[in-house]
Amino acid sequence: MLDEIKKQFYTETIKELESISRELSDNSYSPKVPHLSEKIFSVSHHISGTGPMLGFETTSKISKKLEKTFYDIKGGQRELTPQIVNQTKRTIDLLIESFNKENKLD
Amino acid sequence: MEEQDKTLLSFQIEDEVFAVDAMKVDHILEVPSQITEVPNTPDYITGIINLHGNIITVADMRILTGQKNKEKGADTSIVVINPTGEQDSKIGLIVDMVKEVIETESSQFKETVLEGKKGLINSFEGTVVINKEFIHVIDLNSFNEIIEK
Amino acid sequence: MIDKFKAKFVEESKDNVQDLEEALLLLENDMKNRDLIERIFRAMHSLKGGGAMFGFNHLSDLTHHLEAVFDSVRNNQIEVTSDLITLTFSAIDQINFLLKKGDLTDTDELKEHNDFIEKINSFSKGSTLEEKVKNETDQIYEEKGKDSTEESSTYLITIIPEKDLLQNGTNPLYLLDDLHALGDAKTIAFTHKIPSTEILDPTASYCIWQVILSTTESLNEIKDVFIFVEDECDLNIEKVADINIVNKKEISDMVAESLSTNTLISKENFTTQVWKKEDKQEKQAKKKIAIKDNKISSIRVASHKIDELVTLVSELVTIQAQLSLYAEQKEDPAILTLTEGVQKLSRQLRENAFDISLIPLQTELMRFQRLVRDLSKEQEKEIEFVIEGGDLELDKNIIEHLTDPLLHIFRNSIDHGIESPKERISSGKPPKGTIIFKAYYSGANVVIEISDDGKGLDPEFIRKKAIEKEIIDQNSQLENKEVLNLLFVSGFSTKDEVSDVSGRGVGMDVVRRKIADIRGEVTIDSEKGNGTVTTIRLPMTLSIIDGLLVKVDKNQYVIPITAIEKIYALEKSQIKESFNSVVILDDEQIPFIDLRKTFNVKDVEQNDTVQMILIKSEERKSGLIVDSIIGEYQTVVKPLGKHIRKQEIISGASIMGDGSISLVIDTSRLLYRRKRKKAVS
Repeated sequence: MLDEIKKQFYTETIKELESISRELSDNSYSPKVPHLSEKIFSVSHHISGTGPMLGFETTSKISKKLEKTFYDIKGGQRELTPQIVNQTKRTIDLLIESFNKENKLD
Repeated sequence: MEEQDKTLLSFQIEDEVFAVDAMKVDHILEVPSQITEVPNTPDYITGIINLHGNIITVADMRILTGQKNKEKGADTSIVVINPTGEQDSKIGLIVDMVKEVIETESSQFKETVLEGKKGLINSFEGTVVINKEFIHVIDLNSFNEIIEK
Repeated sequence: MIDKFKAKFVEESKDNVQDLEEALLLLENDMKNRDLIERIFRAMHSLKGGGAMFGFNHLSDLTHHLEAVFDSVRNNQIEVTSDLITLTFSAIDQINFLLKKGDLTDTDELKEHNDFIEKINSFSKGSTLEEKVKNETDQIYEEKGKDSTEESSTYLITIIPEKDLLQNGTNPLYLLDDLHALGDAKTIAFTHKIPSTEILDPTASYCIWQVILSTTESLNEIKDVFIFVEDECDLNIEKVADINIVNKKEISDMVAESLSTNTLISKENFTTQVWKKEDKQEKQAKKKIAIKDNKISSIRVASHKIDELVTLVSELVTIQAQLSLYAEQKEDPAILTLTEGVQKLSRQLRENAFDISLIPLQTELMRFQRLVRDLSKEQEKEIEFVIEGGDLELDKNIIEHLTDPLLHIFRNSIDHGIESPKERISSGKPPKGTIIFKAYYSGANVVIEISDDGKGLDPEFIRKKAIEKEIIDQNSQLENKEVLNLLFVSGFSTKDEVSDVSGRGVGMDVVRRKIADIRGEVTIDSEKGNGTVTTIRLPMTLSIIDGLLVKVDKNQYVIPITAIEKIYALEKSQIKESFNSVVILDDEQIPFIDLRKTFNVKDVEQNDTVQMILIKSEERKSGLIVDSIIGEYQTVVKPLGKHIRKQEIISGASIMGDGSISLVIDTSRLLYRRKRKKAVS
């Protein structure tokens, strides 16, 4: 039961992350930004919520940071600067890496 | 954002479904072969277990929700929750079966139909209906209250 | 300053350089091989990043320019030529030189270095870098980026990572890279916080970085670089100049100075000394850059690591005890000899690990010195505070728990013990009172005595009070000492009732409980008119106890050896026939506690022979009846969760070698409970 939940969670999430990572790698990110922000927020929120109990502890820690930032961006309290996009790209890649690592651990 | 979205972990006790805030769940474990009983503790405290070198108290949700004690089955699991984030407030809950992770919104919470009480659990955040199934969301603070008694 | 971490970087870089050389040789015969070009680019990139991280600025600088060239090659903007390969080979020589030397200070060498970089840049066509470097030949620390001379401001960025920065997967190299991308930057890496490599946790982050950055970007843009690591590092960004000063000579001197003295650069450095003391500092910097042998006499270690070490050692000791048991049973001389060796070693290791976790009491006493001073002033009393044995060392966890009780005891002495100078003179004492803090070892315990020469306690008053509160019977015959210890009974003293007249005993039940939490005992002795002595007896360590492992019903329990006086085997009939839970052994009446009853074991089927363990605590004696004795163990005590902490007889749990759990019995509470029960009945 638990393994199934974990497996499902992992496959679904990693797919999303990889697609975001791809989109961010496109140099023409600016027009897509609002749509992407929403997507980044929701996937990071999902990971922070469900990740810890399924053993994705580091991953969740990292995703909490994304979640917080994009919550602010979504709410207009923070501007999505090119630098943030740059850092986000990096953090998403980091997230994928740590996700894969923690998935293998068990 | 807390007001809007809520991730829940649901589990089954007899034929009822309960859930706790998934953010507060630390681990889900199989019931270990040995749970050390601690003398002079209430019925619902099953005992203590060794979880990665730390001692975790284990409580039986069946007793806490007013059900009779039952032999553990293949799906019986321990959900370790950590209501306050401190090591010593961690507690493992024995449940009949862990069901699923649910994404929901607080606005979907309805006044719980259990009249705010079920066995020893006296505080619920509400009830969510998903696929015609009633899921009672337990307020984790109630575990702290049980101890105070 | 060269330390081990930096040395490690050099070590790793040598591998990189070797790889670079190899790839370059291959490239010479196959100038279009993209894999080789990629390999060279990668090697340059890691050298650049590592160099910046560990303060090899010139190296980083050089490789940065080479990287740019190979980036153009990678992107098909320029072609590999034998000239480029020759140049790269000489660059490798320069890299090796810089790895050996660190940053350059000699003017001739610097000029050579810069000329070389110019040469590199002549290869990268179309690069904005080229023109810039040509224009500013005196600029040494060139970095790619925007126009650096106009509208730039210079910032000092200090990054102190928390230890878990790397554990979360963050690569600080990227962050530094991003800063460099914002403009002209110079990175200083302080590595003095890095412990020696043997105990280095490779997943933790020990460096501190400072970056001097000139950029046209806003402060917020710089901050955004750190958006996802804010919580994991201490970040400070300060504007230090309204122009680009990164490449000024003064800055390199300042960097060299700060590196050799291991002090962070502060904003003030930019405003004052640096711009004036040019010549002098230059000379100093030269001297100090010379490689020194660094002997580390002490290191800082996070306290949780020490806790971990102690836990691990404790577990080792537990398993070793099992091994000994096994060896004895097998009676194999070879195993026995080996086991003895292991036993000896683990004992030494244990002592060593404990020694590490000890800190001197003195550190804690400073604050009490202050307390005595302030309170006596406030109350117009004259008090001398004497410390004996302050250098005595205690487990840091014990010291942490000692503060509150000590504070209480000191307050009692100052507030209620020591009289005003007038009173003291009229009772024939010197006007100045004395409080003595004394600590010493006594067997496996540490004893702390706090004595004062104040007015002492009045046993008659306490007795009356205790009868009034129905704590003792009107007719009970108690010695003075027993009367004084009634102060520790919970609910005996409240401030307004006791303090005025008897002068003491305020909150002593709290003190007792807190001391009991760290498995200590506290007693009080006093002579009316002459002063009071409070004595605290503590175990040397919290984390491990020597215990006797016993069995009661299904469970295993640990009884601390220090509490045990004797062990008897009893026939079950002796217990059954006993009256009022008292057995007579060697003509002595011994009260006993049947642990099966205490723990409410439902199944009362017992062996014919049971064991009685005679325990002693605070001058109370009692036998404990257990089913059987398993053996002597050293065990690690772990706290119980708060959900079952109300269970007061069990003070903790212990994880055995096989993963099973034993419960640790708090003997003093067990005896205390019995006493109270009796008082009630």
